[in-house]
Amino acid sequence: MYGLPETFLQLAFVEELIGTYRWFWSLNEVLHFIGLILLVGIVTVYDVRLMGVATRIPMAPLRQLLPWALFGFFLCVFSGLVFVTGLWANVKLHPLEALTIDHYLQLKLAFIAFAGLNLLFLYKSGMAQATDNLRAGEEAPALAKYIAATSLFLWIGVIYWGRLVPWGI
Amino acid sequence: MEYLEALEASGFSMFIKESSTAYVAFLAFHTIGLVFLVGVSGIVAMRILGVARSLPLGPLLDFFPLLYLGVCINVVTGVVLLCLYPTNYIVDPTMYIKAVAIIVAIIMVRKLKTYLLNLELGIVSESESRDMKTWARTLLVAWLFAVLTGRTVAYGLATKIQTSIAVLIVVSLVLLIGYFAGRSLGWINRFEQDA
Repeated sequence: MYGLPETFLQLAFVEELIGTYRWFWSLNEVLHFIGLILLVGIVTVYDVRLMGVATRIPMAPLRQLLPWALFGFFLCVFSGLVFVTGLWANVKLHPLEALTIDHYLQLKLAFIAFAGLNLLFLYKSGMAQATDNLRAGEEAPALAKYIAATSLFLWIGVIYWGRLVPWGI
Repeated sequence: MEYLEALEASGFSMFIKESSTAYVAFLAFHTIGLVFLVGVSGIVAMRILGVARSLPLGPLLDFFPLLYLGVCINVVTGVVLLCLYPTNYIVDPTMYIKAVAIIVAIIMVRKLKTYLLNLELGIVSESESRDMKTWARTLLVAWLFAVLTGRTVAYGLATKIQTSIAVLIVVSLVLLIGYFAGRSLGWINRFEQDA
């Protein structure tokens, strides 16, 4: 019915893992939460610094936390893929069908996409370079503050809509 | 128990349970509060344990209002969620483990905050911070248990135990692989020299 995406979005071995081991789904839920805490926790601290909070902290050392945020993102992507590719084993619904009927999932994915575009804009607008070496006491340019506020709003939205996903199916 | 049954059947509890948006909104805000609270305190703990060593420790106090916001959100949402099915939660040992983990974590946060304040005032220096590493590790372990018990509260006992074992194995493996990868890439040696 759906063609090629159907093949990749529904993986038999993941469904078998979820069907055989009840702890596999909940393990991934815990990993998804740990990933969220790492990713959104660090992004939030980074964003509020750009917005003018904790200006005593220079930006360069804060950037050293970003690999951990990236690790959190990968944890979320990995566990999220387990939820998608093994969805049938849990709720007897094809992932593509879930994508079309679950408005919360659509909103979550849209917010992630916008957060990605916002990050791209941070780099393309030159604001990333402008804020990379902010010293203690220095404020970020106004545009960087708007980008940071948008990022914070979008990531909080990702958590909000993400938590609602099971109720949208 | 009668009081808990009355609470569970109260107008407020029934309204939240029957509302299509209120219950899930409380759940969602509970997660947002968790990210603020565990995120900020986790960053302080990670910094004490050697991550981002050039990050000044004292000024991290400026992020604590975010942590307090997380506490406020989670106390309100947590109490509301607890009022919905109190008769179930009161007999669930997972909730008691979660409560103990949260209490331990809050005690550690308070100890770390006092340490950061003393650093700011020049009363202590970073080199005198041996206890801090123990407190930072305890904080991270306590948050891990709080998240683990919070996420598995809806499952049966067998699944809870199996999930806990699986999480502990996965986290230990990730830390072990991270440690050896960090050593082979020279990151850990470099940090030790920096220290």
